[in-house]
Amino acid sequence: MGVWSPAFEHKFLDGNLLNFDAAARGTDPDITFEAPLVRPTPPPLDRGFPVRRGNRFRYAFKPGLFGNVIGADIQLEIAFPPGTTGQTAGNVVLGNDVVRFLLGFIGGGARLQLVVNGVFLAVVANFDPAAPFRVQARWHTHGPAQIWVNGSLRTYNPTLAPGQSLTIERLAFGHQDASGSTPGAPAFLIRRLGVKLLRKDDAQRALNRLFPVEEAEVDEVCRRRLSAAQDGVLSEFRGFMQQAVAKLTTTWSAGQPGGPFTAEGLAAHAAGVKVARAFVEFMLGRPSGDPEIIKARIGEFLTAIRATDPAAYDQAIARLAATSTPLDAQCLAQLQPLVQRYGAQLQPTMDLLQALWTKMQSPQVTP
Amino acid sequence: MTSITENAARALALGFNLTGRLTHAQVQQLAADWFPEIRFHEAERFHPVDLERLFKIPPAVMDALPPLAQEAFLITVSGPTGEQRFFPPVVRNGSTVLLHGGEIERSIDVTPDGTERLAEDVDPDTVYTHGAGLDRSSQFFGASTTVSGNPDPGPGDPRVPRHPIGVHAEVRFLLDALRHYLQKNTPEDALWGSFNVENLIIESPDQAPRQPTPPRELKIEILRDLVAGFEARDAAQQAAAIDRINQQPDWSLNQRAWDAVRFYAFVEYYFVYAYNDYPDYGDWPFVNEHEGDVEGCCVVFDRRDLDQVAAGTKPIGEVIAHTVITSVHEEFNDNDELKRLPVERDRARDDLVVYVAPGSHATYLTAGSHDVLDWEDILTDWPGQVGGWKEVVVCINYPLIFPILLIAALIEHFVDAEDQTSDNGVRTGPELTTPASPTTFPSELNVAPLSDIGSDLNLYHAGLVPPRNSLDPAELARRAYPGKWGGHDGVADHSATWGDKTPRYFKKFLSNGEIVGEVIL
Repeated sequence: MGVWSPAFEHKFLDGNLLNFDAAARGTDPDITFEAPLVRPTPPPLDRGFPVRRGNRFRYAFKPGLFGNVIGADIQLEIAFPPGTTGQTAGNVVLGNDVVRFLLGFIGGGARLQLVVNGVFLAVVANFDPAAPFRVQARWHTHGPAQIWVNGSLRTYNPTLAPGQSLTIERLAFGHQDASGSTPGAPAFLIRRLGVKLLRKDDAQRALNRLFPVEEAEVDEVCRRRLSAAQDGVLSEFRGFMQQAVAKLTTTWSAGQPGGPFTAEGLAAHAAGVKVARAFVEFMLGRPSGDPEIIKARIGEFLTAIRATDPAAYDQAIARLAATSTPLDAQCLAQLQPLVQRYGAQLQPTMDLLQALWTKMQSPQVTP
Repeated sequence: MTSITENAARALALGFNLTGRLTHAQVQQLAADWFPEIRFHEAERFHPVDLERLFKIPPAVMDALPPLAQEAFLITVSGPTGEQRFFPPVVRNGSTVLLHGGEIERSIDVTPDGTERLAEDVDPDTVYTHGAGLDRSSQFFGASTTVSGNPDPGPGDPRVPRHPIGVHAEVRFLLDALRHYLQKNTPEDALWGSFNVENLIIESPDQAPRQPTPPRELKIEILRDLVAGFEARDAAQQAAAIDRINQQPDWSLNQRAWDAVRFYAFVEYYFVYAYNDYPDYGDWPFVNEHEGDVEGCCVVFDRRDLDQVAAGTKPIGEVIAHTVITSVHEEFNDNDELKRLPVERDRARDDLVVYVAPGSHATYLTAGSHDVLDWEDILTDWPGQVGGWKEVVVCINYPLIFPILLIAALIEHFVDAEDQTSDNGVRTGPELTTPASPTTFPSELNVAPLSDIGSDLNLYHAGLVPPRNSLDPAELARRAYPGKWGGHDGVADHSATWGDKTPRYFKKFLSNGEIVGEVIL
């Protein structure tokens, strides 16, 4: 399974617009549509959501489910019915306009625009209207934002709305104008819409799955202390990562020479992937999770990102090293049953983590 | 754990019947008529085989190897008397070997074949294994060359199935499945099934973990009355049962679920694979691999049509399947797919295509890439609780939270796992008994007899003393086997038991399907 949280997925597999998946699906969507919401299953080529004036699909997420969103990923598969030559436009909107993915088509040309809290990334692309057209927009709070067309990166910005945390309480897609009904107007078909969101704790939840432990009752004060301490640590990392991303990558669009990633950035990314991958394998007890590989690769990764601002890195590590546990005796007592039960099993993990913390404090790798 | 003989006797006493008034012959026809076309990815290495071949292929392959080569594939079992080595497969309880390849008849359809020994001494912890590794599974079951004879597959040049493709089918009328789930003193095996949907039919407020156990027994008791009242056409009994639901604070009858149970039936197609080699195809994170993999799909029918077939008022050839549902990874991921089929028979038949992702064998309804999603995991936070290994680490040595959170920040940037499905691989299906192209392969459809045990054909007949209707005790022993179908037991990499997929298909049907309740003319 993934790290990001699935929020919404509609594949338009039949004629029932209500045949979709959504996180904690409960409420009915609010759909303005030119035909009944449940129609007999049309032929495969006609399946999809025709985007033209009057057709709009709105869905409200369970309140509180998507607070603290630090990443958004929107994927669309689009088809153009034969003879669709006129200008067509549509969008996918998340939250109260905090994330918008705007789509405009005329003939074989597309203008795509990702807007996060008013800041935008745009690209123009040519495509074959007779072939399936896949587009993807992705944003992360560390700054990077990308738009992909048919699997190829078309534009990249390393500093789009860095540091932002969003609340996404609803989703809408279709034509921006939901008034009236225009069944004969030119339309493109959304064949699939997939939205994934990254909440601030999603990655930790993913790591938790690697070694399931029984849950323990912990009082509100202790939980808040734990959470605040972890937020503080992550804030240090995120602040540093934002500036590292900005230095290791650059604004780029297809057609420009070179690419968005520096050699150092690519190396850091490769090392980071290897660290995380090997760590997962280690936690799952697979042979490929060799602790020595993890230690070596994290050294490479940290060396590369430290080089983007050595002083800031050293200061951040020093601040972390100076912090002490947020858990008082009472909190520690509440967690003791977990320690008693799992402490010994986790000893190899703690040995590895100790080595990684040592590397974080002194990451230098000889090239 | 009861024995097959005891289970069969219980099934007889409880009037086991999952197919309403349909005979097994009608069920076979229905399952064959609506057998979906299955499209595998060109890179698929393990195509489905039936349960019988899981036992017979490994020793048959071993027989063909020179003795020195056999050595590498023998299975070592350590016990109090030291190490012993066996021909694969081995079925064992811990260090006690119940059955091994040396004892199994290699020929297909020969009976007894040795696997009837699984009728005794097996339980959910019993393990079947032919080696629990990709190399061993590949040796016995893996496709090696492509249609054009190449080692590497490509679009239009898929790997050739190593063995005949086998698909297992079972019909389950939902009302009958529910009635049997609600019965007492039921067989304890993998065949009886567990249609545990009481919480979907009778809704009550969510309960957090560590709260008192939900009053399951009360729901079961009420549902027994409700089902009995419906089957007896006793309106007063049904009303009384519904009153009992409404008397409980915040309880309610989910009418849609009750309609689905009463008016729909599933034909479930099971695809049994020797191995899940997902890491060879899927991307990180959290890919898993394991020996033994039971996947499949489900075709939904309107029970009212099938009742007409049973009554002789509708030809079976006029029945039109209603919906198709797939099975995507784990049930708890809630990521299965559903499609309402067209209402014209030919179009419905043409639209009945399922796609199998390589390695994971998740089934989808379209070709292309599919995000591997977990819709349920994001809902598992409960106020007032923490439950993570990192909290244990924090307690013991606080600074170790720093590398954990660094890795957390790293994994946020990776692309999620995807399954790929394709139109360019091996195909099999109902019209394909005679291959029409080099990439089209026939398949054997094995429909389990689950009709009225009192008057028709039922697999439990094979466990009665003496067996009835010439059914094979070995076939019952394999299908009812309650143990694990592989030797992996890790956190992510674990082999599962055979769990019938009726509850998960029902959940999807309830969530996304088109359900028509009582039709009042």
